[in-house]
Order: sequence, then structure tokens, then C-alpha cells
Amino acid sequence: MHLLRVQVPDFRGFKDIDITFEKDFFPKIFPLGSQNGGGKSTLLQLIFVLLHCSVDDDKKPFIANMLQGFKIHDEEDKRVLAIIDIWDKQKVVKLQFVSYKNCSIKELLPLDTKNESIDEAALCFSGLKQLEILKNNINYLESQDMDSYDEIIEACRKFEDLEVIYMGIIEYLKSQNMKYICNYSSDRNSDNNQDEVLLCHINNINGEEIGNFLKELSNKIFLAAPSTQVFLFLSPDSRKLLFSNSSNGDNYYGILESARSKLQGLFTYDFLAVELLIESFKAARDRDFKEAIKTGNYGNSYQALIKELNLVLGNKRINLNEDFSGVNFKLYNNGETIELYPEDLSHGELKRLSIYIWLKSRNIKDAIVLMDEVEIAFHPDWQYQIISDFKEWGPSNQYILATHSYALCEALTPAHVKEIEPKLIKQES
Amino acid sequence: MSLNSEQLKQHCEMILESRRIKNKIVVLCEGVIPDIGGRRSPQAYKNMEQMPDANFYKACVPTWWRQKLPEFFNCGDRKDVLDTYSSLSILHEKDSANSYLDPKRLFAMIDLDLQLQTIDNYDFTDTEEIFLELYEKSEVKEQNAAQHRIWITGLIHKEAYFLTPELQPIFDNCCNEPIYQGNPAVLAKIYLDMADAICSDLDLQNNLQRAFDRISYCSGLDCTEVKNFQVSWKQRFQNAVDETHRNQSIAVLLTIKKAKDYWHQIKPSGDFSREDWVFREQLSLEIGSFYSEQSSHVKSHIPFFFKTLYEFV
Repeated sequence: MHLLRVQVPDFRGFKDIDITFEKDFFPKIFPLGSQNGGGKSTLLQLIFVLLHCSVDDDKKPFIANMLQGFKIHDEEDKRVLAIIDIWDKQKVVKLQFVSYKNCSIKELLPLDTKNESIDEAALCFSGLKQLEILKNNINYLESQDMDSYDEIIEACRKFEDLEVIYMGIIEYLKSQNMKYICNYSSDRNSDNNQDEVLLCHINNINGEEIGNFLKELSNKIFLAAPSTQVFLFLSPDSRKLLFSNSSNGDNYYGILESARSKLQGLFTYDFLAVELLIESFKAARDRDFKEAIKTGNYGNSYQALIKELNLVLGNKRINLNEDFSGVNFKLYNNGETIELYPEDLSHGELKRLSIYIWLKSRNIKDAIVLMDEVEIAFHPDWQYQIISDFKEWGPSNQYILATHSYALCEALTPAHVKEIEPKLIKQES
Repeated sequence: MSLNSEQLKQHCEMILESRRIKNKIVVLCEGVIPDIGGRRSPQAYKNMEQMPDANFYKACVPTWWRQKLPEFFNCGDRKDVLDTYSSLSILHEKDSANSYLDPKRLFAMIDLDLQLQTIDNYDFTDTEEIFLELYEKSEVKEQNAAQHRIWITGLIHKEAYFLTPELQPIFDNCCNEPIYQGNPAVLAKIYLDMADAICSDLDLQNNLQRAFDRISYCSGLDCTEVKNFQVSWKQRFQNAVDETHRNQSIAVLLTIKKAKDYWHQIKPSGDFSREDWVFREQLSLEIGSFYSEQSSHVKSHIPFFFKTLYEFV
């Protein structure tokens, strides 16, 4: 997968963003620059949520959070959010994310789809959600005792009525290469009224294949960012916690942690990705054990992993604590061995190790990897070398690196570097 | 056109005041001095018309060298590099309090070229003298390397290092197949074209004796006149008994025949989305990456240069 082009006509601070990431450039690593507040992080997050969260229902709330307050202009019936071109190694697939009014379903549908018995006032995209709620309700009632028999009958009747209508709608959307993504609130201050809806129009792909394509795409998009970043796909209330002294026990990082458990493609540059390291060691151990069952001899996955990590660390050596509780390090210097704790490693060393183990443990290949402020904690020399690191660690991936680092760019050609241009200057010119 | 005295002074002051050179090795290179116009930012880099030539050398820094990388500066043409080298030392001496330079860690890398370039106030009087002191039979003289601050390429130009025979796999495996004169780039074909053009190369003919002196070590070549040389070189190349023999012929050619024109004929295949030179810039960085992984043998001029440089970290 390769993100070929992204266009954002008008979202938050963006105006007429149009950036191309050429598929024939090598390496496929693109620094993305802008002034402070220019919107690099917002753009990466927007791309990430649209491509990562458009399929699974439990991820769609992140899109709704991101879009809250994105309002269709008066006297217009829709508003284009973003157009994203994806190269899937065979063809260019264009995904156009467009917002509509919740009730605009009536204008979108052809007349013959409408059933006279439909209450048109109730016909809206959020009905799809109602359908889901009803289905859950029926499942719940069926799991209860038979006292609720009448309720089940009534719920099933309602469900069937709605299902006929909305299945027709879904089929129609599919025939038009469109997919319903989610409802969201156009009111920046409240998400009670889910009055707008995000649809995705996809071209150059068969309507039946849209689901599979989006599913595959969602597994091939990753975002790495500092955990101190304001993630706009968290709920507005959660984001406020980052700037307040919470008294009720909630905290931003706890909410972020919860979000990370749902967003498999999200990675934050924490102090050290110990969990991923332990997970990787355990997986390597299990592979070795399976090999022993199969062949009678233990495999060498564990040793190979240690070797790989030591190569990343240079003159230091990593090992797993015997109780699997963490990792320890040793420094070999002029024949002397010095025991180190993780905190003895520099922030840059820990970050580099974390990124490496993230790419390896998540088996990130042929993917689109968005990275925000990757240079933080790296000396300019390491900022420069991160490009060769990515080429070595995950050569099949495309990397888009939001950055302020000139040193990082020097490892690439000027044509590789993309820019979110300042709005006012651009308008004047 | 070379820098005038005021431009040279400004350029030197910019280098001396660059905080990034503090405790670092500085390498001055040929190439257009980029107009950054303010802070060194991704936007400033993007706005450059072309990639600074020095970035190729930076890409060649060995992979094992991870801390205190050298800092490279484009300084203009060959004379500008030499002028910058001498002026930096003078300006630093005058006002070392306002300089981040460590003169002991100041180096230059310039092209050998065909024309002689004199050098003032240096241990060697001209480029040819450095070349003869630094290279022998197309290998770096290891025992002499450490004394040189101004390095000369062992091949005629930096671009000759884009066409050395060991790079054929880079050309073959590049994701956009490099094309030379309508066909996939085969370096052997380029060498033969270079040899065919020897007789019409006025620059070479004007500096023929100097060129032949450089390659006098190579047996089997008739250096009595240019036509004879052409014929004998092609025979030697085409009838090479082994790879060493063949590579020696190539090294001879790349030491005296300008390679830039041939490098500029390398184009991307198919419908590359940008200009041909953008493709070549990307390919040159891949080549730099190749050299960064090469062992620092005396035959490998660039890796050996960096091995020598590392002693000054």
C-alpha cells in the first residue's frame, strides 16, 4: 500500500491541502514540514483515523471525535473532508470522504428505493445505528427468560421493517461505490446531536470489494507519535484533561492507553516499549519451543532477536529479566562489563529501540507508516541516520515523517520533502 | 564563476559561526552553495532547486560511524573550495573566540579533473602533486593518507564514483530501472562509449601528458598518442583475463576521461513522476549508501577517506 496523494480542501486550520507522495521515489520516505501549528500532526491523525477506523464499529467513534464540529456550510448539502489516493501496487484507488446531513439520505436515494410505508421524517443515516441497537436488544432479550416473549416479537417486527429499508439503502450505497462510515456532531461543544454523517465514495474498485479493500487498508496504516501529543481523535472532554488538573481520577494518559488498546495501528513513543519487548521475547521463545516439538531441536529465534536488538544498541547488550518482568542491559567497554538499567540508556537510544521493536513485533510490512516528530530526543546525527534505519528495519514500508529536522531531510533529496504551506502567505501569492 | 572576496568572506563566516561544527570534523566540498535563506528547516531544504553535492559524500559516511558525523559544506567550484579552506584557517586565527571551527579537523575533498589547480600556502603546491602523493596504481597510499587535509578524488570527478563497476547490481536492482541511451544501463557499455569519445575530447587532448602520467603504471596501454591509447584500452578492456585486470582498465579510464556527461545520460525507465535529474539525485544517494557499507580498503577511495577521517573524531 502506498499513500499517493492527500487533498484536504477545508478542515480545521487547513485550506486547500494537496500533497503528492510519489510512488516511484526511492526510498519511500517523505519528510513533511510546516511551521509550528501548521497542521502536520492534525494531517497525520486525520489520514490515520480515516484509513484505520472506517471499518470496525468500535473504532468509528474516533472518527466522530475527530470530526466533531466539522459543519456543512449553510445552503450546501455536503462538504468534502478529504480525498485520499491509494496505490495498491496495481491501481490507484481514490477514497473521497464527504460529509452529508443526517437526513440527506432522502436526496441521495433513488425514488424507487423509497417505500411508501416509510416514515420519511424518520429516515436518516443514524437509522443504521438504530438498527444495530435493535439487534443488540433482541440478542439481549433472547438471552433472558421467556417472560419477554412479547417484547422480542415487537422488537423483531421493528427490526425487520427497518432492516428492509436500510439494507436497501446499504445496497444502493454499495452500487454507487459509497460506504457509510459514521454519524457525528457538527456542534463543537456537544456530541448529543449526531446530525451529520461521513460517507466514503471509492472509485476504481468493485462495490462488493470495498469492504475487503478498506479492511486490508486499515491493517496497513500506522501512526507513531509522542504520547504528549494532543490526539484529536480522542473525545473533546478527554483532550481537555491534558490541560486541566482532574479531580475525579480521570487522566489523559489513561484514556490514551485505553484508546491504544482499540487502535492497533497506534504507537506512542513511550519511555521504552517494554511490553513489546517482552512480548517479542516470549513469541521468540514460543517459536523455539515449537521447533523443538517439531524437530527435536530448539530453534534460534530467541538468540536471533537478541542479536538484532544488540545490533540496534551498538556497544550495549540487552537481556530479558529471568521473571519476564522487564529487560536489562550491559555495556561492554574495553573488556569491562557494566550492568545498566534502562534509565541508564539515553532517551534517544530507548526511543530508537522502541521504534525498532514496534516495527518488528507488529510485523509492519508493505504498510503506510505515519510518524510525528520522530526526531525528538535524537541528536542531529541520529536524525540523519533514522532514514537509513528505516530503510534497513522496514524497507517495504512507506514512511511519512512530520518533522522540523533539516538533518533528517539531508538524507533524502529535496523532492522527497513535502510541505504544508502557510495559508496566509499562500493566499497572498 | 568563482566567489569574489566578499562572497568568500561571508561564506567562511557562515561556516565559522555554524554551531553544528562544534567539536566536529568539517569537510569542504565542491558544489553550488545553497541559499538557505534563514533557519535550516525542512521547508528550506525542499525549496532548494537541487540537492547539495555534499549530500552524496554525507551519504557515504560508513554505517559504523554513528556519533559525531562530519559536517559537509558546499563551497562552489574547486578553486572556491581551496580558497575557503585557506580563508577559514586565517579567519579562525584572527578571531577564534567567534569561531566554532577546530582547524585540526578541517578537510576538503575536491575533484582531480584534468586541469591543474595550484594551491597556495599548503604542503603541496597543486592538485596533481596531492594526487601523486595520495594514490598509486589507483589505490590510496595508506602510509601517506593521514597527512592530507585537502583530499583529491582518485577518479577524475565525484561523478566517476557513480559509474564504478561494483555498482552494476545497484543499477540492476533499482526500483526504477536506470536507462542509458534507451536500454537498461549496463556500465560496460558506458565505458566503451567513453573510450570511443576519447579522440574527440579536446579537454583530454589538451592535458594528455598529465593524464597519461597518471596511468603510466598500467601495462598493455599504448600512450604514445591518443588514438593508440584508445585502441589499446579497448583491447585491454575487452580481452581482460580476469575481473582484476578488467577493473584496472576501468579505473584507468575513470581517472582520465570525464564521466559527468555519461552520468547525466542515466534516466529513469517508464513514466517517472519527476524530472530525470531528480531520479539521478535519488540514485546518487543509493550509491552513497552502497559506499557507506563498503569496507575501507585502499582500493575503495571514499570508504578509505572516511576511515582516515575517523581518526580525527
